[in-house]
Amino acid sequence: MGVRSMGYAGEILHVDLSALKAEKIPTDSYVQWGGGNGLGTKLFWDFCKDKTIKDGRDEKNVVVVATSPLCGTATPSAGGRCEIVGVGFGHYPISWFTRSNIGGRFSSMMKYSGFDALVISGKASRPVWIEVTNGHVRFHDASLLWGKKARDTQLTILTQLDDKNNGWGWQPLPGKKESVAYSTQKPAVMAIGPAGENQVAHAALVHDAGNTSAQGGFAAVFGAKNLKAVSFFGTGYIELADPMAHVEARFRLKERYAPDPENPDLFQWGMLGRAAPINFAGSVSKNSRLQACVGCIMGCRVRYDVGYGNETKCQATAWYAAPAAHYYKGDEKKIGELALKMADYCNDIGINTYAFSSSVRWLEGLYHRGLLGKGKQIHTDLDFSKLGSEEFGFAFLDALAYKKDIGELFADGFVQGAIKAGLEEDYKNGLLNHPYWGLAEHGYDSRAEVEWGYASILTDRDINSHDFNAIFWAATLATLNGVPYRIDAKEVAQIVADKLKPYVKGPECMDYSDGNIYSDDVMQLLRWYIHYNRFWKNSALYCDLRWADLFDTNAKDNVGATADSEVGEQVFWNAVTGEGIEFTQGLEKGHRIYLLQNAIWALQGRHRDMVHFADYIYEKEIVETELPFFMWPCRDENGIWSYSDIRHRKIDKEKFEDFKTRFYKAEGLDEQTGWLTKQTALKYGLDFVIEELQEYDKLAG
Amino acid sequence: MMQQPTRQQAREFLRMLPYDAWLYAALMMPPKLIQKRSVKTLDDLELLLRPASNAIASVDLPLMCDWIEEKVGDVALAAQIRQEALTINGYKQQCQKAHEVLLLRIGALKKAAGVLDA
Ligand code: SF4
Repeated sequence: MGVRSMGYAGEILHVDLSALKAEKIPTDSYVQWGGGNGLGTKLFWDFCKDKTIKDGRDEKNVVVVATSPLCGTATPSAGGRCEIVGVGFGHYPISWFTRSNIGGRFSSMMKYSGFDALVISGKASRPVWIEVTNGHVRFHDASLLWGKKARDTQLTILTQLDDKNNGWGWQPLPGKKESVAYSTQKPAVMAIGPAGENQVAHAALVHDAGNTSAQGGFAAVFGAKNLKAVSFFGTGYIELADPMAHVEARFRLKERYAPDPENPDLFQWGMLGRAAPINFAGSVSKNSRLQACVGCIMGCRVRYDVGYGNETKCQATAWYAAPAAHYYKGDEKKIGELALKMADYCNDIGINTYAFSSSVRWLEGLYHRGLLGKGKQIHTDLDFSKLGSEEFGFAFLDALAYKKDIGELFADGFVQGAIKAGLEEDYKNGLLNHPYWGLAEHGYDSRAEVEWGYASILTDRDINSHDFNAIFWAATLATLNGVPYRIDAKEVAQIVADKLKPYVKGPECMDYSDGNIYSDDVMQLLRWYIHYNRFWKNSALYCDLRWADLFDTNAKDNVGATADSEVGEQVFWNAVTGEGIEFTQGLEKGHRIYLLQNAIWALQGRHRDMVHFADYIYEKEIVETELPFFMWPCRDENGIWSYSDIRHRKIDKEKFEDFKTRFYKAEGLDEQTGWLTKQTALKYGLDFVIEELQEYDKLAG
Repeated sequence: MMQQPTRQQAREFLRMLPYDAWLYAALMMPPKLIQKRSVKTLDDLELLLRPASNAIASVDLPLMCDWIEEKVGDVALAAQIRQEALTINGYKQQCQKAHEVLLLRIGALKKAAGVLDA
């Protein structure tokens, strides 16, 4: 074991599934990459011998499940997240090296068992699951688990690990003297369900009742590797550099920002102070309590007295409520019940609701256009006239997870399926609204909320990061409900600009009016957004539902916690690691991680000419009426700020290309190709990539 | 007071519309959940606009009136909502008024069409 840096468990576990062998590597030489995304990217670089692969299910793919120093500590809304990286599955035209994230207690248990990350390479010759207990690794035959749903799999494993088999969860601790070494803590298991086994693009990894690593297609990658589950269990601890500073900062942050769960303020502006939960349960339950990942100051999920829907949240609970509302004619009890039961079932079969929820509407449209049905252009035995019913919901999910019926056609992704079925036009014209890399729109149109779209296309997937999007929610909900704007447009732009220093000059970066969305100011905002995400959110593992907290009306001055000298991200980082870094040094680390990822994408075949949205983003103005306003701070021709409706526009391709050129240049990437240059590689300490890039002729300059 | 529709008109207005005539809308649930909806019938619209403590309809109201007029074909209903709802202040209040008008109209349409509500 190497030197144990503060906040780290000290070792990385590498499992070679082909040989069913495990090795331990000291974390120390990787500490410069922080954790999560950065750590995982560097480990991928070192362990993946062929980075030209274009499908994550390739045996040569390497998947890394990585924690951060903050995991397993009480860092607010950061202690319980976990990052997964590797070549994914389901993107179009190439499945990029990508990322995903999962909450709960998995990352904490991994660290308590002695590891900062798990590197998975090769492919098992038969189904296996991996047990890790306090540093000891065992490969188990998973033949009897194969075919089981994700929750049942977890339960079976927990029962198997329960040595006394009395339901109290006595976990034996190998390496200790028998008879004294037991713990009643519960191992943390991450498993795939049938969707992962069948290697479908929209499969999700599942941990506990409702934590999923959904985007990225890593459950399909697990399935391809014959890896059914991984279990971590440990009784270790994480050493903090300055525990007192950590505790004090947490109390200070809670005092300043945490919402009151008894009196949720639904029109609060901000992230940390935002009310919870974030789900749809209709009128199902009167008694419920919040549930949270390790360390969170405010859980976003719920446990209900009805016994179902536990820990489900967000889109998983919303996707079927709309068709159900139509089918059951507004029967609120039934709709709520079904919303939760469908969310539960998605978690059980291990499927990513974001990947298909917007496609449900498209499929319904195909049915009504006469293109989908028995003997139609797309044949299906599913009765789409019953969409919204309980029976249809389960049958539809089964088709997707078990690759049956239309599930077979869409197994590689909805865009891929549409093309196979001769419906490419629907992808181009946005009827199938998958704007970036063949992936579903998150709900925020890239033509309006440009930072979301730009960041998604200039990275590897739907960015799914609500840092600025919190403005849309606050301003749009206020407008809809006729409640006052708690912060005016000029003030919010100024608060955000202050947080984004030194990237931006001033508040103009927040001006999303038509004339400003290709400006250098917005380009700098985008750079901050990507760097922030790559380090603070994806590597340090601050939760997207609470951070970045740029503005926050729970604070007297409306200023959020991000980068704050007393409660900002770096304060907790430093209290744990003792590194003593500035907030902006984290952004620099994020930049470096992003550059390394660009090297991987180039090896996979990316060129700037491929970096473009689906055609409709350039060709069609937003015409859908589902949002009466998309409110955002804008300046008028006199420079006056207000919240304005930013629908009714399209992206100008030429201007976006010019924007890309300036972005690449600012990042240190080659303007012609988007590739890493030798100069940048040397400048950012990425000299280790030069030889491999040169070998494949992918190094610019 | 809207003109009473004939039985045939009422059935026509209550029908399920073809795909290309659907109205895109959503329910917005604070703090941050969107439930996107395809409005295919007047009944769907009523459900969408129905006041709720934890959600608000998200629909472009002037376009919704155009939709009622052009796609559903109920010119009188569209005119009534424009007159009674769109002239008052505040989106939420407009939604509530539109819902009231719509609810009454659906009742009248169902009566005229001889349709019993389930
Ligand atoms: S906000 Fe939700 S997802 Fe984020 S850390 Fe807290 S409980 Fe977990």
